[in-house]
Amino acid sequence: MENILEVKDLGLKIDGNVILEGITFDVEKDGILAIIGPNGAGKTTLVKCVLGIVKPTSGSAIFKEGITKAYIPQKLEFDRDFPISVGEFVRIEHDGELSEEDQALFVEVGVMKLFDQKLGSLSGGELQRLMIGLALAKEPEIIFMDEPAAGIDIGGEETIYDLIHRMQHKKHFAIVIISHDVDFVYQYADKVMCINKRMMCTGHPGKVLTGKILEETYGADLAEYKHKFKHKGYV
Amino acid sequence: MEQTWLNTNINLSIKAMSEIFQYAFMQRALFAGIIVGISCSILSNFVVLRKMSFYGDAVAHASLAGVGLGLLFGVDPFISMILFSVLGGLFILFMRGRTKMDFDTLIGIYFSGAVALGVLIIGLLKGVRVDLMQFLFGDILGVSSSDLIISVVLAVFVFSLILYKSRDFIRIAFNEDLAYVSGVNIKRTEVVFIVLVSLVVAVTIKIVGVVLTVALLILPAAIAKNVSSNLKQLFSWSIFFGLFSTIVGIIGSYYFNTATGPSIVTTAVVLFLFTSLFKR
Repeated sequence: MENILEVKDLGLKIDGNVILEGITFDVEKDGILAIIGPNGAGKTTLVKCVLGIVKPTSGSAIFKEGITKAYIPQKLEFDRDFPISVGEFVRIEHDGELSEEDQALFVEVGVMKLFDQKLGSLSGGELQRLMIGLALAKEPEIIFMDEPAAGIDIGGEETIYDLIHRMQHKKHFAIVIISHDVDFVYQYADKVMCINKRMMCTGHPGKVLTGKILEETYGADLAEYKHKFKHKGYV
Repeated sequence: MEQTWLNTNINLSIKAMSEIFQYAFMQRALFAGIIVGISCSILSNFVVLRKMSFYGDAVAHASLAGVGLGLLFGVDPFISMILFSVLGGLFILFMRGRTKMDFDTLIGIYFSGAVALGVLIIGLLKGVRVDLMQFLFGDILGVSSSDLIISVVLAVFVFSLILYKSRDFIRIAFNEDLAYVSGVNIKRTEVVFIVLVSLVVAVTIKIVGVVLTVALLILPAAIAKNVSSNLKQLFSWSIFFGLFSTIVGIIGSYYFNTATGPSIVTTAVVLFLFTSLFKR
């Protein structure tokens, strides 16, 4: 399979402190890579380094030439008071009017009906759906998602993960996802990478997510995560 | 009885209004107020959305150093003020990328340093007297024809630059990371924005003084934000409130024989307080 992203020996030091070190991985066309690790392991920073938002101090992240990429931050930080309607936000982010196909897409992710509302009035789940819609409207070859379901009340019929999976199945794109959602990682990821500043493991979820490796990755924080994994019968 | 009283009052008002505009200086003041008011009101939206009110304030006050330096080196103070504002803005931007210092702290240091430098230089110059009250509060009633031409040129410049760049300004104001990934050139856009704010500040100070410049660069958007839930409303209301404050302030100052700049600022602040009650 063709690689669309190759990350080699990526590292970041701030004031002499190692934030990330020796991270190497690649992403195949239409592949799904899940990044896991404890809080403070540098997962979000890694994604930002790969995207160039944060400049890494060593190593490289090389995308296939001319690739279209999209990024869905963990929590879209913005001033809730910012007077902008959902529709205006979409038109600005999308760089112009929406085609019929785009409109159908926004209907499908369930946000078209919100276009007249103030962006700041959306719930966490609605915002994530909107961000997924916007990301997909770019017709990207790769999407980076940072814990897309964090802090979201999964009360709806379809979870954010179901939506992501459904759209990936339909549109075909690669995903790099930071996630603690065990179901998603096990069922859909082709590859999982555990990091804690360094790479702890990488490979197929079934092989990698063993008790021993998880213990090494999460260390003292394992208790926090263990019940999640245990509950699902993975550990 | 009441009806007659009202009619008399309206007639008096109309008479007084036409009387006001018989004076060329009032016509110029109003025209300059409208032009500067519109430019600043539009720009204020970006200043407020980007939370750069303090930056605008600092650039405005710091331009005193530009005036001082101009007088020291025998350059037209207006030109040196523009240069100082633009270069100072770029310097702050440059420093922000190179220090972990809080942006506000950096601006505060620049602000006080530049004002101190300005006052020191002006104090040392022999035989030169700079009217600091004029610098602070301006004299919109003393606007000259050349000031008017400059303000029109500025307005055209502001409009075209904003038309060309507004999408990027909004994207960065909203979320810088997203803007970056979407391919917005953050650095270039920042430079354009800083130059734009600095230019508008310098020209507006010349016409209406520091205090009114800062007010016009913050208040129209702050008032409009209270009553808007989308960008279209924000931009329309900011222009409306900017113009309304300017016109009411100028006419009011004629009626009550008050200083014009502060009358405009007071009107805008009252509008802000009033609309805060109906915040959406």
